[in-house]
Amino acid sequence: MRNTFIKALIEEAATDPSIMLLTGDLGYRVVEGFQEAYPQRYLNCGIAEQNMIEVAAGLALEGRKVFVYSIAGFPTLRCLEQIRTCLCYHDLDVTIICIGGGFAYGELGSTHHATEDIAAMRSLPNMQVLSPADPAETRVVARYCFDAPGPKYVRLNRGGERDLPGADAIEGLEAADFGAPLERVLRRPAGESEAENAELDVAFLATGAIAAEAAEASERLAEEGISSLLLTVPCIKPLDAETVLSLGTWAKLLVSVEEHMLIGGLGSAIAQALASAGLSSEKPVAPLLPIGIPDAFPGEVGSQRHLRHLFGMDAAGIVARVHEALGR
Amino acid sequence: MADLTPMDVEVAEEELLWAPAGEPGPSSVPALAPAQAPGPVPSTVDLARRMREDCLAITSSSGAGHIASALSLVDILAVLYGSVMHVNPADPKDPARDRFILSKGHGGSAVYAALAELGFIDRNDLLKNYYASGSVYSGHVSHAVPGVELSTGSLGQGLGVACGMALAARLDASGRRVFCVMGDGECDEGSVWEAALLASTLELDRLVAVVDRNGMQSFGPTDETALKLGDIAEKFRSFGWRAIDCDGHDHAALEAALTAPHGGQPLAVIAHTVKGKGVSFMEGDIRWHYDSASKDELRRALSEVAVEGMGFPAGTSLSASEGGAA
Repeated sequence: MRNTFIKALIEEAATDPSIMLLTGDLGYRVVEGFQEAYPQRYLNCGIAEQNMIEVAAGLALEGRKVFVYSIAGFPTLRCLEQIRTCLCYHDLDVTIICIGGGFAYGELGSTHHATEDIAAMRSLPNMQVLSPADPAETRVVARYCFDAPGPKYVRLNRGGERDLPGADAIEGLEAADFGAPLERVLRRPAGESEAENAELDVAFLATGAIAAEAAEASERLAEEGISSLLLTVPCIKPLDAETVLSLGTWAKLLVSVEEHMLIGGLGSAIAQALASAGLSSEKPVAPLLPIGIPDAFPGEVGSQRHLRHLFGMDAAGIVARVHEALGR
Repeated sequence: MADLTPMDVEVAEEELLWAPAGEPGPSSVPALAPAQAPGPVPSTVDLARRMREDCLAITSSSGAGHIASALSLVDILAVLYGSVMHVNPADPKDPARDRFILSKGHGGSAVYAALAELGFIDRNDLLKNYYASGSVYSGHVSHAVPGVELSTGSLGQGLGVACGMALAARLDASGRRVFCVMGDGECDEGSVWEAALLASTLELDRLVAVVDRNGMQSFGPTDETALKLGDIAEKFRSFGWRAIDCDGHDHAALEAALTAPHGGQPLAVIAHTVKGKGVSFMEGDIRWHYDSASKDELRRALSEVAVEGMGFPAGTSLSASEGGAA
């Protein structure tokens, strides 16, 4: 996903001279292509994230379209107040690219897990929060970032991800179709099951690379005769609350899936939307099963796969949680 | 805004320490000389005097704090806005303008005063609406006010933004300069030194950092109550800057320092100032970081700053001294 985004950025910078890329001394063997193509528009700000955001703000105030690159919690939590005050308060066209969303750098330890970033970014006025699930969505999100003004946060996994089913349809989307503001939930087929309106048991709403686990869970449930639909949410803020609500009055169970704390992420955003709408909804709204990280650090080292399993967020864990919630 | 009940007004006025007798509400201000008629740019000394009057008036009438922080800064701003910087009140966004960031945002009343005296904003509007509910004049300087590039108030963020602006100026092949005024206590912030390191790495020779070295922060003297800042110029030099110490109330010394050659590097001007400068009972008294002048105190303060030739000291041993090893 990181190479996909940077490749798109290099292509776009050929026609948009205002684009600049800043890195917090990270992106070895990822960002060099941009540096070689546009040495004047590339800057390694050193291991100094607060200043990097400030410099991005100064450049954006002078008309540059700035992309900032780092990993884990460094480009968000380390410099949160600079993002809030310099970028968001001044509504500047700066895109923060975070590599290592969730447990992508699992073995490196909790210092390198980006697990509270969505909550922090969601709370900031003017900030848009984007979290593509696969390379195909990453290309669309990148195109969206090239066109849309204002501060944006893009959460990527790492490298080597495969496209989820339905990627062809995604590829055809233009940034303009994606919406500005971006309020679209991408629909993906759930295995071979053809979910009919009347008999949909489960609607998955998943964001980021962990959507692959939800896709696998959806397939397993289909084999058991439990119908489900998987929708990925590449745009967490603004959230397409209308689609979420329509799902909530259609499926028997809503399941949010994210590699992020349960506090403040996609599940929280959906719960907020459902609770707000549910007050005036004529139809009953389905309960929400939020899949995410509980209020704890893992306490042990592990691969992304291991840590997902630890917290019941892998396909098997999701299936078990759905069984429990549906009572079958 | 919710309507105030008579009780609310009473409380609000108590908090102001004084209530203007027979005048309607807390936002009224004492009578001052009429706003400067459009015409020749006043001398920087005259500009500074008028700015001091404005700062005192608006902080006193509104009950805002930080008057002493503004007064220590006034001469620096008067020299920048009145002489050194290329700015255009008729077109605040003039692309060729020099950029100015007040990183010590709590001195915002002094920036508003400079902008009012130069005609960027309506002075009467400022006098009436500074710090007032529903207005744009926040206590910490706001970019909603024409002529202000950056909202600040959270310390340590201005210099990095100034670095970005100075880099953009280079990429634009523009000769515009970028000025960033910080407090000395602000230099406790690590982000200041992140920016200082980047600025010299990039040899940003259109960037000027000014440190308002008034020697005071929240609890008293900087080096005694908080962190030992010591020789700030020497610190900037060790970060690869050219650095100059000068008397921050001596306009000639300030002008010389602010127009000194950069020598291919960013320039730091350590302006040695007195917190509360120009009002005898405010000078060096930490109380005036927080309190605003009562009506009587305002009258006394205005009479002091209005005195002709209130005594900006002639160059002292600090004036435009490079210091350090030759």
